Order: sequence, then structure tokens, then C-alpha cells
Amino acid sequence: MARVRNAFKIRAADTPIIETSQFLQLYCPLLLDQLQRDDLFVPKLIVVRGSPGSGKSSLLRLFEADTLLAVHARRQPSDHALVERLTELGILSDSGPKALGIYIQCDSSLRDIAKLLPNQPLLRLFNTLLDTRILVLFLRAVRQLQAAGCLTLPDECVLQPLPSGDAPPLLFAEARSLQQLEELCTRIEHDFGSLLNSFPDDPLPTSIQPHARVYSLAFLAQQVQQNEALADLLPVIMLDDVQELYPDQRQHLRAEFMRRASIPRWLAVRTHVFGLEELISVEGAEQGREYREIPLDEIFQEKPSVFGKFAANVVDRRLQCTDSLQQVPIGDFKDLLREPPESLGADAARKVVDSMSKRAGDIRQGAAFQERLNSLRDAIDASLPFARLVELEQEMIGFERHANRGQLSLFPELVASQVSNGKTAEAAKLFASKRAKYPYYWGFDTLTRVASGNVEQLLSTSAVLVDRMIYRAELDRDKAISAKEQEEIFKRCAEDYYGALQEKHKRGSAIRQFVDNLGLFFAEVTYRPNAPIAPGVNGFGLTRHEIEHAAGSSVETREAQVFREVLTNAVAGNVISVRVTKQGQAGAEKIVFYLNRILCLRFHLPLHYGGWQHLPTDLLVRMMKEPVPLKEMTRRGASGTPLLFDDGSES
Amino acid sequence: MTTRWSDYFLDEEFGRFWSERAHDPHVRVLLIVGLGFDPRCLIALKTLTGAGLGDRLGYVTLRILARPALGDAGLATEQLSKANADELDRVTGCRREAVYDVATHDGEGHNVAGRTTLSEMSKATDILGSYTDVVVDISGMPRGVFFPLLAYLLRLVGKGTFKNLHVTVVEDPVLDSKISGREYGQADFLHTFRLQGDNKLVWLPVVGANEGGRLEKVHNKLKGMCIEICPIVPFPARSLRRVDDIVLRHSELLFEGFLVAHENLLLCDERTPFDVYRKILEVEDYYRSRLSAIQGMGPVTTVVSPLSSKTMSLGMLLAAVERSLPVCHVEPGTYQVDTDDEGHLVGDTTRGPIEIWLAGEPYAL
Repeated sequence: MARVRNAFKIRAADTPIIETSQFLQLYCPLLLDQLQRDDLFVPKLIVVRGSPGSGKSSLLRLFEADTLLAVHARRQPSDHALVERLTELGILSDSGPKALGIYIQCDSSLRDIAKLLPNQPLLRLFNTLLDTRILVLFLRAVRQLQAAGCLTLPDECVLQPLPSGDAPPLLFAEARSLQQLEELCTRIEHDFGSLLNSFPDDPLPTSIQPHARVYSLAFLAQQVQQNEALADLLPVIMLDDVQELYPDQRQHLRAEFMRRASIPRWLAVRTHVFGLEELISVEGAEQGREYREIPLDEIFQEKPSVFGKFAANVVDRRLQCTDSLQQVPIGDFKDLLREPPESLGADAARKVVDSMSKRAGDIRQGAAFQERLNSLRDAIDASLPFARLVELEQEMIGFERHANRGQLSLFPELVASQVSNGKTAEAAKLFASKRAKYPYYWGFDTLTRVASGNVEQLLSTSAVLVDRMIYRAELDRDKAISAKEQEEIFKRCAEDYYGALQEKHKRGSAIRQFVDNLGLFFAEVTYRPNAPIAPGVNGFGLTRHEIEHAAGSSVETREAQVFREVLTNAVAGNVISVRVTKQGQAGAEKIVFYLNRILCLRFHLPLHYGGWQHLPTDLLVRMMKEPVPLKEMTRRGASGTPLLFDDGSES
Repeated sequence: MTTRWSDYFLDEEFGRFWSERAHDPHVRVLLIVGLGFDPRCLIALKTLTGAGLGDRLGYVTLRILARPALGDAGLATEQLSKANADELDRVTGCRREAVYDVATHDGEGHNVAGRTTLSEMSKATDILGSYTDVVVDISGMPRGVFFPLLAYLLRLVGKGTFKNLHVTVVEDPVLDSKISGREYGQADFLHTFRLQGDNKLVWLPVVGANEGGRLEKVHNKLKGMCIEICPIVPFPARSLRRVDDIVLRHSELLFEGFLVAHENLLLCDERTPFDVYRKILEVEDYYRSRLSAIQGMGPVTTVVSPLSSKTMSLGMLLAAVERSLPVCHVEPGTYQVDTDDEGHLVGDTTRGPIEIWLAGEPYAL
């Protein structure tokens, strides 16, 4: 396979612009673990949900005939895991592909049917176009299988019509050979193209007959059940980017796809907050039997180890395709991302200890601690281990918490630091890093966390690190990157991501304003000396009721519109991710909105999930529209609602 | 091979051209203006009112209703649009034939500018038929509006609804640098320039400065079928360094991201639309004949993307109309304008409109 200078920069890795073989080389099969054999052989509706770049399209496109044929033809050692998994799922056999993915992207060519001629049955025309596309793609895939020798068809393979009792439209009402049917479908599809490109007053082409419903599902099911030559095939109808359709089209599609059929139907939809969830929460359907949901974002974000494994696989595959790093396995790559030095230099250490000592004196807590600090300062000769500094910082947080209670101790020297745990330790590490300008963001773990469970983001950040390694390799220098350099690179990527917010997203200016305010607010809460929500805050939470009250479909105020548009687009663009949690007040479910992890770097926030704070919706709307003074954002109970804390907090 | 605009008519002196043409008493001129926040949108109309056409001058306004940005940016464009509307009300010496509202986005946020424009303009057939010359001022129109509009008017002029079709535009790099697009949506094909079939694609984007984001979006849309990319860059340009700046700025994206071969760069004169037009046709001929001959390749379609000045975009439009080429584009969702202290958007005041005669008398010779 051709190698390139930096394979992490190939934007097209999941599409046929590069050879299918390169796609396979780069494709990580771990996402296939989300599928079960029953998903195919007990046909149901599968909804794949995720943010852009989460791997939805790549997963779907893997099942297209040409990709499966390439896998079947290659069967190289590097494809072993993929072949094994596809075989387990029953998609691939020794004789070739068994499942045939019929991939349809829901773009404007499908959506704009809704904007065609007035007084036309637009949803029926939508059915016709969908039927035609499904059929033509199936027929092409069959032809590909036949050409590859994976399918034997009789000379005159005829597809029988649907029973007349179903009142099928012309396309499904006559027995036709594969070729005749493909020609007919191609003509209808071409006429649809002309119709969509038509000028006002152009007539509806005569070949286009409105369909009362989507007939192709029943038609294909009938063919594989009744036509012996096709009996071993399993068509899988896959519609990608369903969010691009109009609401009535989505509802219609949901109704059509929920209709029982003996072939699997998959819908891929972008994560949203409002409205589109209707597509997912399929009313009246039984999760597991009639439909199943695969939430890619949640899988990756809630199981960092799964994403870590996935990321390692992706990085490893890309390294093998990168010219000067092809000999670097993933283990070595991780090692090349160097750890920071264990100790701080004497001067830096003294400065840090001085600032802690001064603070300890200011809060008049822990006189003994202050004395210890002073002794420690005097004892520093060459360096101070960073771990020791973190311990001191942790003690400091304990004293701050005590001081924050508002009671001076009669015997401050006897005050012990508060009980602390791993979260406080992490907060102490964050504080110490900032105080000592010591790298906090470094290593492969940071790389995977910064990706926010998103493949595209993983690749774009890795690409910059890899660029640095390539540059060094080309100069015959050590390829390793110090922790300080890594942090600089990560921060530069964060700046680039932040800088592109306005241009990239619908309502981008407001999203950026919102991020600015959130970042300011989160940093203020995170760096409060007593670390109230250790290790820090990088999300805000709302109740379902609050969301419905502020921006439900029945609320038509300007504020509601701003709230809806900004939040929906921020989530759809993966600037903010959503989790549902039971944390906070007892029994209260909260929808928590977390900043994309790469944005956490920009505000020097921790990369973990869990630390969030409640913010009133009117304040959130204001934060979307204008810069809000920090004082107003942090004012407790601004809207009469007390601030809520992550239940793991130690305040 | 002779093409429709092998010989063309372009006059940089718009005012002088119309003053001379106004001497013909049979000439009746209808100007179609895109009214938005861009101060250039009224220059051609004001120039025409001074050309001596008298009551033989009318105009149709397409009021561009873009989604306002939230906050100050939205306020600034709203104020500029209102100022232009007030200014238009004060223009005398011409007849207001009609005002049509063109919302650029629907309630779901999808771009519907082209479809809305044609739907509105289809009501104006009688108006168009009562004039000999229709002039479209594209200075204040987004590409999503003027591409379908000109394609439609070229069809009407071909049917004889009116006799002559002209285009005018004021190119002003100073003003352009003060207007920047924001909140780009997804790449899509412009209305009436939609891709048909699933042919392999050759992509010809005109690349302007700071267009990396949009290039990437269009690329994402096309990459599944794209087999060759030939970026078009402006050379010669008013500034001869411009081409270097553009290529350097986008080199990583083009050469490492899209794997463009260096020899695929096409140089086109930015001062005339007809150079871009001619080169696109040549490239289209070349790839259609060479690639289609490769066994298994099937038919090949050339897709163009106008991500640069209006003049070069117009060249793309002409090529797209002549060869029925798809046009893939990303329109900004909102605009950010850099106004002066008094809230005005000031450009290079020495710039005037140019005259491009697209169909009619000169081509009938």
C-alpha cells in the first residue's frame, strides 16, 4: 500500500478517494464490536447516533459491496481482525460477502423533494426516490458480486413483482430482469435529477410515479426469500445523515422503517439535543426486538478505556502508512511522547514554595504547615520532586477548605488538613502544574482524552505531533517530543479548534461567545483555592424540565430560539457533548453539557468528566449573546436556584 | 472548438457604455438588484440613472433576507441593510417594477436562496418581457442567488422573453477584506446546478485567500467520487504576489490533505471571467476524453466551486451553464462586517461597475 508523508492528514481515509485497500489498512474494526449477529439475522431497525467524525459513516460504508469484496479478495494478515469479526457477524463467508450494504446519504438531493412543485404529493415523491435509489444500489451490488465470482445468477434472472394485492407502483408491478430493472431505475433517478434542477414551470417528468409508501423493503425481502439465486444474500438498507431531512420526512421515514420487514434497516443520525431525538426514541417500539440504538459518543466517552484501545489501533494503523514512521509501533510512539522531568529546578521550586507559604500565612491556617514550608524552602539545594509539590498543594487545599468554613481556629497549628481523596490529589496536581508552569497535558492518554471520543479530532491532533516527529526524523534527530513541547502542541491545536468555531458552525459566533463565558466561569470555579469540585469543572447541568421550560417547542420567545439554536448546533458540532446523570440533588436527573475536551486545554481545565455545575437558563442565554462579567456568572442563586455540585465533590 | 463565449463583450466603463447605448431610443433597461448590506449594491443603479435612459429604466429589487448573526455583528448588517434600503428609496429617475423577498435560509437552517429567487422571479416574466435589456447587478448577491438567477435568465433570453442579458459587478478588494463570512453550513450543490448520477468527478475549485475551511467542506462533500483536483488560482492578478500568498496559505491542505499534484494548479486571469471560463472548458474537454477512455472508469463529470471573487465566479458560472456542470459551494450563514466609527462600510471609492454582455445582439452576429 502506498505510504504518504503524514497519514494522519488524509481526510479521505474513510472514502473511496483512496484505494479501498488503503481504507481497509486504515480502518479500525473495533467499532464492529458494537454490532451483534442478531442485528442482521433478526432484522430490526438500528439507529447509530454520534457526533460528526465519530465514525458513523465509516461503519456503514464498510458494508458496501465494493468494500466487502475488497476485504474478501485481500484477506491480508493486517485485515485478520476485521475478517474475523465480519465472519462472526455472518457478513463474510469463505465464498464472499453475505450481507450487502445499501448506503444512501440523506443530503439535499433527497431533502429538496420537499421544496418541489406546489400541489405535488411530496412525501410520495420522496418514497419514489428512496425506492429507486435502494433498488438501483442493490442491483449494482448484485452485479458487482456476480462479476467478482461471489454470486452465480442464471442467464435470465427475473425479479418477480410484488403481489397485486399490495397495489404496487409500476416499478414493482412487473417481472423484470436485473438489467431491465436497473435501466428503469437509472432513468427514474436521472429524471429526478432533472426535476431537482428544473426551472419554475418545468413539468414533472412522466417516468416519475408517486409511491404511496416505501415498497423497496418488501420487494427486496421478497426477492431474497423467493429467488433461489439471491437466497444467500442479505440486503441491509443504510441511511446516513438522517438529520439532514426535514422533520416531516424524518417522521415519515421513521414510520416506514419501523414497519416490520425481514431485512435490516439502519439509520445513522447526528447527536442533537432537541427534536431529532424523536427519531431515536421510537414510540411503541421495543428496544432490543424491533430496534436498537448504538450511541457512539456515549460508548466512547463513558468508556475511556474502549476509546483508548480504539485510538491506539487507529494511531498504529496510520503510523504504518506514514513514510518516516512506518517502523514505529504504537508502543514506541507512546514512549516518544516523553514524560516531564520528575523534579523542578531549585529556583523554580523556591518560588513555588514561597507563594504557598505566603498564602498559608494569609489564610491564618496551618501555622505548622507554613513553618514546614519555610524549612523546606531553605533545604532545597538542587531540585524538588514534583510529586512532593503535589502533596504540599493537597495539604494547602485542605487548609483552604478549613478556612472557607469561616471559623478561625483557636489553635491553628493543630489544624490538620481535610481528608482528601484521588480527586483532590488530581486537583492538587492541576494547581501545582499551573503554579510551577509544569506540563500537565502530555502523553498518549492526554492525546486520547483530548480527542473527546472523536476519531476526526484524534487524527487532527495526532497529525501535529506526528509532523514534529517526521521533521526530526528527516533531520536524523531524536524523534521524541518532550512533555513541554507536547503541551505546547496540544494548546496550539486547542487554539486552532477554538479559532475555527465561528466559521465552522451554524450560530458559530454565539457558540464562541458561549464557550468564552463558560471557559471563564469553569476556570474560576476550578481554581478556587479550596477546589470545591475537585479536580475541576468543565460542564454545566440542567434538568429536563428546565430545558423544556426554557426552549421547548411550544416556547416561541427570542431567548428560546437563541437557546435552542446555539445549544443544538454546539452539540451537533461536538463543541459540547451531552450526558445524562443522576448526580446532584437526590433523585434528580440532570442533562450535563460538557465542553469538548480540547477546549478544556484552552482554559487549563482538567480533562475528566464528572465535574459540573448547575447554571440557570436565563444566564446561559445571556452567556450565548454577550460577554458576562465573572461576578454575575458566579453569583449563587442568581435565579433563585442553588448551585448544584457533582456528588463526588469534597466541598 | 468554438464555444458560446469564445468571443465576448466586456467593457470596464459601465457608465460610458450605457450612456452610449441610451442613444438608441428602442433600448429599455431593467436592472435586477440584490439589496442587502453590501454598499456596492446600489452603484450600478445610480450609474444607470445618470446614463440618459429617462423613463426607459426600471428595476426589480431582490431583498436578500439573510439570517442575522446574534449580537453586534447582526446589528451592524441590519443597520447597513436598512441604510441601503433607505438609499434606494431616495434614488430617482427610474421605475420600481417590483420588490421580491429572498430568504436565504428556511426555518430548519437549510439554504433555499436559489429556489426562492427563481420562485419569485418567475412572477416577473411580464416585467422582463417589457424591456429589451436586462442587467443583473451581482455585486450584492450571494452566489446561491445569482448562479440560478443568471441560468434562468439565460434560458429566458434564449426563449426570446427579452433580447439582451447583461451582468455588472463592482470588484473592490478593500471592501471584500472588511466582509467575512461566518457560520458556514454544509457544502451543497447550488440550485439548478445539482450533480446528477454517480459519475467519477474532477473538481475545479477557484481558491481565494482564507478559504481553507470552505475548501475542506466542499472536499468532504465530493471526496467519495473525486478522482482529480485542479485548484484554480488567480494569475495574473492585480497583485502579482496574490497567487503565492494563496498557494502558501493552503499548501498543507491542498498538497498533503487533498493530495493535489503540483502540476494540477491552473492559473487564470482574475480580471476577466472569460479566462476562467475558457480554461474550465479546456480542462473539462481534456478529462472527459482522457479519463472516459480508461476501461472501467465510466463517465466523468467536472464539478466547479466558486470560492473566490465574483468575476472569477462568473466565469465558472458561464462554463457551468454551457456544459451543464454541477456547482458545489458553501454559503456563509452570517457575515461579520468591519465598519468605521460611524457605522459605514467603506471601500475603494475609485472602483466602478464593469459591463459584461452575456447574450443578445453581439452574439447574433
